[in-house]
Amino acid sequence: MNNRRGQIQLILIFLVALALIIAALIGFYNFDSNFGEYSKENSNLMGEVNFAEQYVIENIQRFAENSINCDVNIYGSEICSLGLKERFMGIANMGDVKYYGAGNFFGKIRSGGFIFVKEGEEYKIEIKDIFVVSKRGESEVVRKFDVLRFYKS
Amino acid sequence: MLNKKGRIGRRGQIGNIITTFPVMILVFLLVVIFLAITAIFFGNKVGYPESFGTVGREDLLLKEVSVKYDGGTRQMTVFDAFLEYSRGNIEREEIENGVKSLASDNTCVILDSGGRVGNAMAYRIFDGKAVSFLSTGSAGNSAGGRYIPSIYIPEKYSPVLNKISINIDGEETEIRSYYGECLK
Repeated sequence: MNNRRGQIQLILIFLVALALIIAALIGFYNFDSNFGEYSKENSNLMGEVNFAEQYVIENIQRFAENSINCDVNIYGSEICSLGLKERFMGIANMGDVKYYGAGNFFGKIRSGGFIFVKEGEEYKIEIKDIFVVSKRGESEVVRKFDVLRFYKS
Repeated sequence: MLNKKGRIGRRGQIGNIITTFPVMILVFLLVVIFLAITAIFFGNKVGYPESFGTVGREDLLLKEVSVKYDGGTRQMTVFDAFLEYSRGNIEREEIENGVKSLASDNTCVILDSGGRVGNAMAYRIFDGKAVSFLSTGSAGNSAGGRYIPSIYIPEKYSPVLNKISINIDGEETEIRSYYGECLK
């Protein structure tokens, strides 16, 4: 017959199992109570980063079209008399409202880190390594992409 | 192993403890497998509480409007105008007129923000023929400030609204918008 010391391992199994059950219950409790918030936050992050990407693409199109058909009444003769790429830079600079989500887009334009040329009847614009950002507290989503567009005059 | 007195000796106890470990590891593995199977079968069934914001060419926020800004008239997106309006750099009438210009007999627009009224960020425009801002006086009260309740948007537009939550200068702002055919 076993003595009391002989029961140590059985008591250990019981205690470990109890600890596992308590840990699992705490885990389930925390998971359920926070999942909705995390999910909403992730949803908002992804929603904004999608918007920011679309925002940048839309602005590229606007700036390109306005550069090709530069309106002196809106942008002034100083900008409209510049070369194609410089016109794009000037118009983009006017359109920069310091939206954080736009990431490095306007900085890239200011530094001239892109190609905007006329090739035959088409205009080609190429901007590489653009990133857009969405941030909530410590969480941050960064999306990188390149843009290559052709416009007909 | 039993000793002379018929009790388990020290060696026997050590042996028992050693043989217990594989059982504990097995139990642990079973728990892990259980959690993994649970996550695989039930994890995918938990949906997001809100759908992702949808944007596209017909997104009102990306439409271009003409507004008075910085001492001149400027072409900018509705979103840019909204951003500058929220910073106090554009008058409310300017963004109102800008968005109103996008509406027509068959095209309705809705622009609605659930931001704090105290920061002058709550306003609404809807229906091409009856474009109007809501008076801030009609906002409800809540512990965190006064908010415009969303019940003022016609119910028929609820399913087609573009909803997006934007971090504007550190403040979380939900923008609901619509640009398209007027719904009957």
